[in-house]
Amino acid sequence: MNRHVDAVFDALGDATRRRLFDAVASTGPVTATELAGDLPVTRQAVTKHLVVLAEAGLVTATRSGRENRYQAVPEALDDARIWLDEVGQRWDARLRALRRHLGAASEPAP
Amino acid sequence: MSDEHDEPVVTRSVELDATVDEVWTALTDDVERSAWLGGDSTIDVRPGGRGQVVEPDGSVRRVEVGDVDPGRRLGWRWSPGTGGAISDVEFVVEPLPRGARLTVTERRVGAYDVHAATAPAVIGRLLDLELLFLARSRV
Repeated sequence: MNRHVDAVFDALGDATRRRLFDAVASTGPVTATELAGDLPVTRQAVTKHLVVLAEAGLVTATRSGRENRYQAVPEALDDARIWLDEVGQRWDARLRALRRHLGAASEPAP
Repeated sequence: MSDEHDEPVVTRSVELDATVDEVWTALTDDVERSAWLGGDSTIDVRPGGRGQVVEPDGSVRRVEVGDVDPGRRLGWRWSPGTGGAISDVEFVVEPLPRGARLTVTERRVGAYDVHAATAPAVIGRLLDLELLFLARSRV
């Protein structure tokens, strides 16, 4: 699961790939040529980025005639979200405890 | 994809009813830190210093201290106790008119290399087995 999460974060760490992923997710099955028409990048560059997204499990490709059609896999984001949620919850708990600790420390001794 | 999920980064910021010095001590003193971080922690708070945090479940996080700017900024890299990933933690303390603000940022660096972590233990066990076989073959 961990390496998969890293691959997802790495893939989405690039602004163009993030835009591509959003575009695939919002349009449904789409080819690299169609995507390149809407973005300021070449079809070759789009294809390269789609391969990275596919390796991270964020999109799947289905052969359609001479081109692949790409479809988003939103569930691929789940593990990354879980990591963010868990780390966030741990810090929430730690900082609540820190607040209590400092509050207790600053109160005059009985 | 919403923006907060674009990067493997978690940030929390709290205003505390304490001085910057008190917050800094809560971060750097082992006894004070252990009172709130969760589990006992011993950390040599110097650049390159090492330490550990024993989580409530008994798992151990290894810590390596990065930048230390006394009273302002403390960074460390830690490995997960169980599961999870290696990440960099940074604390920034700022004075407020009344109290202090503490901002903590945890940035995921990469998956924990379980193989590297367990290799010495596995090799140790293999050596034990080998000794056992050697002992038996002598009988």
